[in-house]
Amino acid sequence: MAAIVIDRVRKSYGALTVLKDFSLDIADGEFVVLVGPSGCGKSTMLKILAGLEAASAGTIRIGGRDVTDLAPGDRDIAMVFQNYALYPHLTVASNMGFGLKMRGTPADEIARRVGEAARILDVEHLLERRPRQLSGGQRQRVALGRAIVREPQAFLMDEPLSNLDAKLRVHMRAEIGALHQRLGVTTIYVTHDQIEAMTMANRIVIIKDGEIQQIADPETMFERPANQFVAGFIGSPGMNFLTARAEQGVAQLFGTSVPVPPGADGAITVGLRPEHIEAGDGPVTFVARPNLVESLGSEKYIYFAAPEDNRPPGFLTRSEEDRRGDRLIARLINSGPIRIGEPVTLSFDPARLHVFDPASGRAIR
Amino acid sequence: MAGGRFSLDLARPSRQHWLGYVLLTPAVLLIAAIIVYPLFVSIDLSFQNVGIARLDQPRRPFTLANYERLFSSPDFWNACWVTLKLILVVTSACCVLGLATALLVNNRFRGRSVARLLVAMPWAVPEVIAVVIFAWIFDSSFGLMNWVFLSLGFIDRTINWFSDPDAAFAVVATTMIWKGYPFVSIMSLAGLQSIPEDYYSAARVDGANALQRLRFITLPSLMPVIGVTTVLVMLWIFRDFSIIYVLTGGGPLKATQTLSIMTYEQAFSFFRMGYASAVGVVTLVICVVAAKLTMRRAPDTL
Amino acid sequence: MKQSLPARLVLYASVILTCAILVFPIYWLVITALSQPDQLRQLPPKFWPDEPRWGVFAKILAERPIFLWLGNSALAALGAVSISMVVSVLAGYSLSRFRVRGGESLGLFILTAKMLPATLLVIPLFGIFRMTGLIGSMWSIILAHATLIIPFTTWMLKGYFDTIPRELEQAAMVDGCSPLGALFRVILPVSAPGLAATALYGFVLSWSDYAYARTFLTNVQDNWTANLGITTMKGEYISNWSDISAASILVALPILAVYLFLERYLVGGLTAGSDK
Repeated sequence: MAAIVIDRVRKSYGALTVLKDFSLDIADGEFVVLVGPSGCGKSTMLKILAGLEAASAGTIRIGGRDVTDLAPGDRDIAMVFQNYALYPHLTVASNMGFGLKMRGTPADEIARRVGEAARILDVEHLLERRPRQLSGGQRQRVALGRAIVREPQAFLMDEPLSNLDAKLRVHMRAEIGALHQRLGVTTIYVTHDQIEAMTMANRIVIIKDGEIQQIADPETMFERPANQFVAGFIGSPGMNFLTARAEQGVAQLFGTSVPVPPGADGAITVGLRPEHIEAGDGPVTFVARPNLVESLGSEKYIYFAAPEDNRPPGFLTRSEEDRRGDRLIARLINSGPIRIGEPVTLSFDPARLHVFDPASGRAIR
Repeated sequence: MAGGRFSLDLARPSRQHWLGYVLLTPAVLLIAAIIVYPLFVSIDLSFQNVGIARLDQPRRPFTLANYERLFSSPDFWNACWVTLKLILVVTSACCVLGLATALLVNNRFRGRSVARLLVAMPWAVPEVIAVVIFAWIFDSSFGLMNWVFLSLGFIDRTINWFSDPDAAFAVVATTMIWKGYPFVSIMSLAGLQSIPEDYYSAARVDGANALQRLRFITLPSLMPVIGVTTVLVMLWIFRDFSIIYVLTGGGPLKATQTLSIMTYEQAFSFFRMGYASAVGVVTLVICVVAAKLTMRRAPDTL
Repeated sequence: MKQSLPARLVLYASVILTCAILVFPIYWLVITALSQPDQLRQLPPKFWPDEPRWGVFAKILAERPIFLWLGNSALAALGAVSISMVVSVLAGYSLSRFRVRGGESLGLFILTAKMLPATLLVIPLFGIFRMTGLIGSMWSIILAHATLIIPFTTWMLKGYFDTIPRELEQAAMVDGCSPLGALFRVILPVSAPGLAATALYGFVLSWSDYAYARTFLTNVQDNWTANLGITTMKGEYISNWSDISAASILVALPILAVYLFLERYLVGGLTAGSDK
């Protein structure tokens, strides 16, 4: 187990730069999730950490040791892959023991550690099978087992759950979390799924276009997003964005004056999470006509158009077709019956608003 | 750098791409020695007046005579014409026969896997053996073909298959078709099996009959495979040596002399290797142009 | 969908008829071998000999050095396939995994080399082998066959390696393998079916060659390959079709056996990449 320091790592392929001065300190035993849209560079960063790709610049230290140009096998890390990458020609037991065998561990020691890992992951009855005889969930467990028998300094996980079906994914999510609790090994976990990031991480790193957008714990990430991208990325359904004009600390929203932070002046983008809109009267009340209602049983998603003066950003430049996407969403719990086209009273607390600079996207507080 | 020690450890991230070069080296060296170098030698030979190629002797003076002679020689143009004729006849027959057999054994019936094996079996018969078979079937005195044609009343006198130019051409074409169609059949069958069943279900729902399904689903889906396969069959005919050489030797009266046969004849029967190389180089140029044209369409499949 | 009875009958009839016509030449080869030589000089021909001459195979094996020819063919094929596989496995893996400068042009050259006519390459190879004294030796035929095989095997193996996920060797490297170790301990064992299909295809290419054998080996009877031996029998003044057919069957048998028992591998290699 070890702390990991990533210091100003850059990666470019010719003229294309996929990672720009990436720096991150990871504490011993921490569970850090790198999350971002596909192509943002998160997987590249993980491969550089593993030594499977060379960084164009920068250094990487694991447990105080400079590993920047060390072979993957010399870094004392273990990796779990999206497609599991189990060796199809070996049994489950040999798969799990392969790394130890490569390091010259005695056979009885390998058997002992494989047995123990198999017990932890509940795959003891599968040890003599081949990967192709296993279900997706079982393969996932074996891949985890292969990582833990090595007792490495750190686990690197590259979207390990995205090949599982939804139910199993939730289950394995909890199991990986429990495993981390139990073993306490530093873990770096890459995913594009913000829910995985929110539920598993000690700290989340949000990446876009090879640049870190924000590093924070899940709560801070949700409550105090650093910019509009982070605000829109975290949360489901995603945050509503509206345009407004701020003058002397006040902006007009849904026909009501609401206070905005002192730094905001002129055109601003206002963010409001769907779950922060409530049915009935509140500090800021307005009437909406739903054009779509989705009932999920315990809650309802209400879709409605933004008021004329608060069109979502970019509204004018979009085609008629695209504008259907420019609907605001409210997530209501315990509301009465709501029908499409019939007015409904909604409200929100202006303290819940997020304000962004429309040019840079940065949060204004 | 870790430790700063010098090593050729190719596992290091900064060295990993070196391995690509290391792995290519044996192939590059061997290909250079046994393909590229000979290729240059033959191009070089084509510009010399050489009888038997002797590489340990000084080079003969540079001359364009081989090419001048080549383009003014009726034999060369005859060989081009024979090659073209053979390609047209054999390719079209192979495509029709190959596609038809593939469609036939793609049906569902008992014994289908045996039928598939049988239909493509000539592919596994070595060319020289195929020649033995057809040389005997087309034997002038006791061959089966003469007897069949006589019995059916197509002819009233036995045909001397190997001394009549048109007949010899037909024998060569028949042998090549028999040897060549299974390749089309195998490729088309693989193509047929990759057409999703959903397409046919959708067409049935839309009321398409069997013929319409063939016309509007099967054939269009197969077109890419058939295109590549056709080119490969053409190149095979273009380059083929053993069938024609063992069957007719290019005769009679050069009626079956393709460019390949002409190259070999000039080199090893008349020992005019400079001239033969010139024919070969022209053949090569045609091949490369064909390769370039195909590659643009389907780079992975050649 | 269940077919109607007449439709099924038509289907079976056409399958049987087609197979019968297309396989007939092979059948006729067998019948010719089993017939008495004088029966072959009678019309109408007999489609099943009165008394099959099963002894013909023993007779031809005693009269002609068929086993020597077959052994030479096998040696040539084994040598050429071994050399080709070693260089093509490494090169195919490199072309599949690494972005090597010049790799693309090498790939294009290899594609073009697949189309080289043997009749062109045979002239300079003849000169080279004469100069180096290899002419007439098994080495000449092995190297010549390697020129036929390497372009095919390199390209086939590159295609096969492309289908194997990179994560496999990445996992092996994280587990402590060197890049070469990952290739030999993980990628090659996993590629066994592809390697087998490719080697088999190379074997068929070598076994089928006539041009190189005719050019390099004609004067050295001890090194004749099977195909060369057969054609010398055909060229004799009076062709004994029964004997030639018997010898031909013996020569074709190895390839036919490979085809009948390993058809899936062969066809898999042949159609790899074209059925997407």
